[in-house]
Amino acid sequence: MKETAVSILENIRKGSLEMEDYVFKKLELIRKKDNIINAYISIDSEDFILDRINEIKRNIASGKKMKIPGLVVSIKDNISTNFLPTTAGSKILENYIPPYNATVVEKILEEGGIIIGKTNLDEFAMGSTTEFSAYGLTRNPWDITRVPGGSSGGSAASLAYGSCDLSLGSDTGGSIRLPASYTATVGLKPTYGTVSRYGLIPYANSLEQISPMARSVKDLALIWDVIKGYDEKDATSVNNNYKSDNKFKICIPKEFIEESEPPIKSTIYKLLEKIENEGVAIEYEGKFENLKYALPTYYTIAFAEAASNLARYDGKLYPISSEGLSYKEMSENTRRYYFGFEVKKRILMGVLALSEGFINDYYIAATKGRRIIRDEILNMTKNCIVASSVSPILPPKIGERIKDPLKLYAMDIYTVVANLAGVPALAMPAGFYNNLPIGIQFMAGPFEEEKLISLGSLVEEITGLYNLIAGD
Amino acid sequence: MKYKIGLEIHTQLSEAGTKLFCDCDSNYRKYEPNTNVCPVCLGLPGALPVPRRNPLKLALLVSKSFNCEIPEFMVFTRKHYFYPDLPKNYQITQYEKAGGIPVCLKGILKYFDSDHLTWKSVTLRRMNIEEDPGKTEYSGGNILLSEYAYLDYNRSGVPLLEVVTEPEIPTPRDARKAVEYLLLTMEYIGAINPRLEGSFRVDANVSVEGGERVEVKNIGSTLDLEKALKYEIFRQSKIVEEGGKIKRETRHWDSIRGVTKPLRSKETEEEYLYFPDPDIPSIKTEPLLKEALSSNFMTPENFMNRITMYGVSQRIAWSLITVKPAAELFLESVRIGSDPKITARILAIDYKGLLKKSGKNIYEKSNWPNKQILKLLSTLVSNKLYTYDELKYNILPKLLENGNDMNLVLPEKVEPTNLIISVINEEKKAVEDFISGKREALDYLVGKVLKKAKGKAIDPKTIRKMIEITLTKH
Amino acid sequence: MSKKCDKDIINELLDLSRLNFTEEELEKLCKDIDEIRSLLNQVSSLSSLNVKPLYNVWDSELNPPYSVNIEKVNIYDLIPNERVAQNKIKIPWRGE
Repeated sequence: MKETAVSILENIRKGSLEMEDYVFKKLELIRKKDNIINAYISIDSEDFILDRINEIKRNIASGKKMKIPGLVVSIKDNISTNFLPTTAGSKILENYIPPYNATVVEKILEEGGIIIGKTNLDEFAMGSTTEFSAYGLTRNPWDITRVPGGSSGGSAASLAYGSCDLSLGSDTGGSIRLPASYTATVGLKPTYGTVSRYGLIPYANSLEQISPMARSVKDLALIWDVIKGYDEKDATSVNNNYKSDNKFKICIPKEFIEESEPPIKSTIYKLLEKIENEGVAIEYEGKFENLKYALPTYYTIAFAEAASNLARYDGKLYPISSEGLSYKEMSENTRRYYFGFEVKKRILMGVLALSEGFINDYYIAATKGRRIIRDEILNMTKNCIVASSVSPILPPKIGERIKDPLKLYAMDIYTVVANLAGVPALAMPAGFYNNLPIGIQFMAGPFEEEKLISLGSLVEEITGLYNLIAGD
Repeated sequence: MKYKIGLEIHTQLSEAGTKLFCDCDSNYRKYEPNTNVCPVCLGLPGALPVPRRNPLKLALLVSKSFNCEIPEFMVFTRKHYFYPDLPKNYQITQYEKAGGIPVCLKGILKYFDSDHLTWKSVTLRRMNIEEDPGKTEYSGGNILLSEYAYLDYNRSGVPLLEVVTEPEIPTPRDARKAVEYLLLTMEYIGAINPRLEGSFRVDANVSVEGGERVEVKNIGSTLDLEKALKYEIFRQSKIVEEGGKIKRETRHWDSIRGVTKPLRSKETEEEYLYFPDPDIPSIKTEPLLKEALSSNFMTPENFMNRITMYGVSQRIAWSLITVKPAAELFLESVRIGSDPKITARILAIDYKGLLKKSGKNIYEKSNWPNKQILKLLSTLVSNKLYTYDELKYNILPKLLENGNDMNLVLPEKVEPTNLIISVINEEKKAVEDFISGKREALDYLVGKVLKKAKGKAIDPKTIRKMIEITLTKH
Repeated sequence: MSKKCDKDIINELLDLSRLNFTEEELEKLCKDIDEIRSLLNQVSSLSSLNVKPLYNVWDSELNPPYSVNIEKVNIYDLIPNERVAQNKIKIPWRGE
């Protein structure tokens, strides 16, 4: 029986596992493997970790109840930490150490988690493969010639090779679910507003949520319980005590699976059959009329918000700053030389979408499209959990997808819908094809995370695909 | 020549307590540079703006005071432009053409014209609440030539209320009166302190008949507003009279030279990429307004009505109202039985004059006597224990000198006849001078009598009259 | 919409976003932008749709707090000290 975060926690609580030994073994593994995988941008020093362990031990001794004491957590490098640089995968934020912690970071520290390092991502989370990081690409631990998905590829890879127990990523349009499906890990994109965004370096504010990842649904439930909840520092945070029941029915809009590559389609259909055999009702007649609008709607909104959010990086307030005789020159040079090509392109598209002559046809049109998509999804998830592919394709080879923007964006077709509609979505392993992981996505109604976790637990019992570590 | 004036007035809600989207102090002037800052007002990545209650409540009270149409919801938008003092390179405001909804859509600015003692009004197009940028200083103070700029973000995020009028103000003098009344109202609400340096800025637009609209920016006082408008109307009229054309442009008010200077010609609308701020949900106005109205506040107009009800003239009432503690004291002390006319005269004219002369701050309530003292003072006169002039010349200065301590100031009354006779006997030369027609000699004699009275209650006017009568009889 | 990279639009966008590219990048940019616009153009048909734009996914409302307790920032922790002069942040200027 492999170690799970749940079992580690038990052993730490019983005292049969020494925290130092456990964490230093993880550090050792990172030193051994991360020069190839490149899941991390920065790692804690040993001294820092020892101090942290001592602090946790003192808290235990003083009787403090904590939810994840001693568990090792990796955190995507667009989530602010005041003890490690937070670069968002960009040169423009090189050496930037935020003067404050994100709310989720405070919560993890409060509950005894050990944050071991910051994980790699596409620059400002703009990408689907983790190849657009200014700190080098991340490789998929299951096949190092392939990408781990993105933009939270570093978080997924850090779990897949066993360097941590739990991870936090962010999901703007599938940024944890795509990597989860490519690395045989689990990711939950929560209902919009259930996890505080305070401290998350924004890409597209109205779409994204900080999202937990783990190697099993049961482990995921541990960290989900730590990070969820209302935060007054985030005006879009929702104060909701909605408890979902655990009776579920699955429905399948054909459009959500049919366009996938054949091995993915067959793996998912086979799994669905097994789930049905366990007594879960499945309806295959679903339809999703507006799927064709999902990608353009999503990208228009994401570009517009991104262009606005990234205006602030002009060299005046952060360590990186270009020379220039005037402010105009300095800001132009800083942005020219320290943003990557993909980021600059998306900023330009966003400016276009918001400019006087185009706003009606792009940005406003997209916000209308968003409403009809949201309403259709809310309607669909009222009575059932929507099952689908996570990605239409198997993990691509490095370099394969990033040359052509439309091919790259098409990878997100099944995942962006949950972000547009604000609903929760779980990605988890469904099977393997030629040793490459394939994932399945379950999307539920707003605030039905518990329902997804129950279904996910059942599914991982059925498949036996959990706590998988690449290369084991 | 006919012309039209419209105004955009930006006022800092410095008394709100917090900035618009964070907990830093709205009254930023007392801090060392960049020490009144947090992740939110520095716009650090990941920090989120959460609108604070007080600034919004104040903005709603101002809207209510000017009979605004207050929308059901407020919606904030982002306005983008690159500038050093703007940490995020966008400003959060409420632009109504891009999905934003401002705090006031249409209102009426009713203002008091103290020159003609009448009420007038101008239509308000809208009011919106937005964040103030930080401050940029230029080495050598020259915005164009300076090699470096120095940024201080203490002001960044301070709530600003932008008030926009329709272009229908008849004269530069009216523009000034309207702005003064707006500021006074906001002071009464407890939103601003108009006497703080840079607490408001006015942009004025002027168009003379047959010409296009010219905007004059950066007017920092109401006196300058009147001057700038007069200058601009003169300048434009002259061009038109000489057969020239007025093109649409933006000008800058140079308060030192007293002229407007061209800033840029405005051919196309600027591109600000407005859209609703995705970090801020819409805000229902009704509960905030209800809460704000529960603290009973009064506008200057309310004060005017109350004060004149007591028989005080509009002119004296206005003089009280322009100094908020004086107006408040008036009502407080009248409520406990002070004589209204005497109290008004003390507060609006004589004690105010004394305070000003002694260099004390007339807007500081603690510099004024309290309502009980005022009642006592007014009773002294109304019960004929002293004449008003005895009060004015003998009691009020002492009261001020003794820090409003009443115990020390009530002087003995003296019978002046003996003093006058002895002065007339002693000052033979002056008496002769007066009789031979030198009026100044009378002042001298009055002074001598006052000196002999040694601070006891005595009324100089009465003395003067008595000496005059005595010597004329002679 | 035409499939040709519109240089005027690109230049205006570069100006508004304070960005710049090398010649080589510009060529790729043009191609990419044309492609991406062909994707975005698919939403344009929705502009005439008679529905309210959705800016906040739950159409939610905020009840604003008085304060939230956010910690202050020390400017010297944020910016390299050589760029701070008497607590003020120093940047090049020369009029723009």
